[in-house]
Amino acid sequence: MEMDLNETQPTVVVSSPPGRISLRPMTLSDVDDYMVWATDAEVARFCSWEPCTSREEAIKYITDSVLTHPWLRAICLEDDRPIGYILIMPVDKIRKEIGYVLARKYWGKGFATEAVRLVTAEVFKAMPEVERLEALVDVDNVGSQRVLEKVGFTREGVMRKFIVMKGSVRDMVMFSFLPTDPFK
Amino acid sequence: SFTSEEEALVFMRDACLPHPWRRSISIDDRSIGFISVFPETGDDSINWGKGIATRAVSIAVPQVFNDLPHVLRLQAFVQTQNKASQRVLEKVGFQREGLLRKYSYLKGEIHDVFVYSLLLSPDLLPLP
Repeated sequence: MEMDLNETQPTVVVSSPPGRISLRPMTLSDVDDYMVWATDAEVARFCSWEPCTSREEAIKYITDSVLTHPWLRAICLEDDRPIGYILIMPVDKIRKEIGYVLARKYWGKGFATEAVRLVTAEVFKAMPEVERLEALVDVDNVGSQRVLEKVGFTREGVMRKFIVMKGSVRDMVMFSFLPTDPFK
Repeated sequence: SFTSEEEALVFMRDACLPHPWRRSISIDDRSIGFISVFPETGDDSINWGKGIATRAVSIAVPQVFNDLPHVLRLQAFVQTQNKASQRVLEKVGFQREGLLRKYSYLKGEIHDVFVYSLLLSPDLLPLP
């Protein structure tokens, strides 16, 4: 899978076993599927963004923040329609952070777990300078913590009053995965 | 013993430094500020083990919370082998939150570090 920002052909990562999920870049034509999760307050609860309130807002957000993101992939089912997305953010030269969001209808089925597993493997393969992949999860976001545990991330500890999210100070659980760690 | 805060801070700068020790201030979205103490050259190991660093940190901590009213959390990252520095933080009341693997990239080397934090409340100002 290409990590090159200059790619002209979007490449596809197919998961194994085939037919579950695939990953590809988002496009503006995904806006209606995007709105399914972006307008959902339950989904937005632990995210830094407020629920989206209009199609225009969604188009603007996709244009300004999603399409410009250095590494973001739509999580798609067999019909190639996105049910969420997964992204990698640089922290510094050797560390990256992983984040993901999924429409509520698809929670609890292992889709996020599969996406995280695929992306984690791909990050270490395509970016050999990366020594650590980490994730920060709200202490109350048990579902997301389970995703990371199922992939094999190490729960390192709770960082107390670590971040201000939508005006409230939150404890965050720190997880990491190293290139030498085994997948579960 | 110190007769003034200034004396303690000078000691912190000049004598505590053989402990390579980086402290950061966490405000709003994660860490946006640093108090960094950089080691000076010279053999100051004669000053180790006398509680100077502990005293200096315990003086600095309430100052930081006083001077920066929006700060809720002070955090420190200490290399796993640096037991002396960990003891300083623990004596002052920092809580060890966990081991962060391959977290710190310093001088071309990658280190595992313990993350410690001291919260204005409840660590410094416990509820009655």
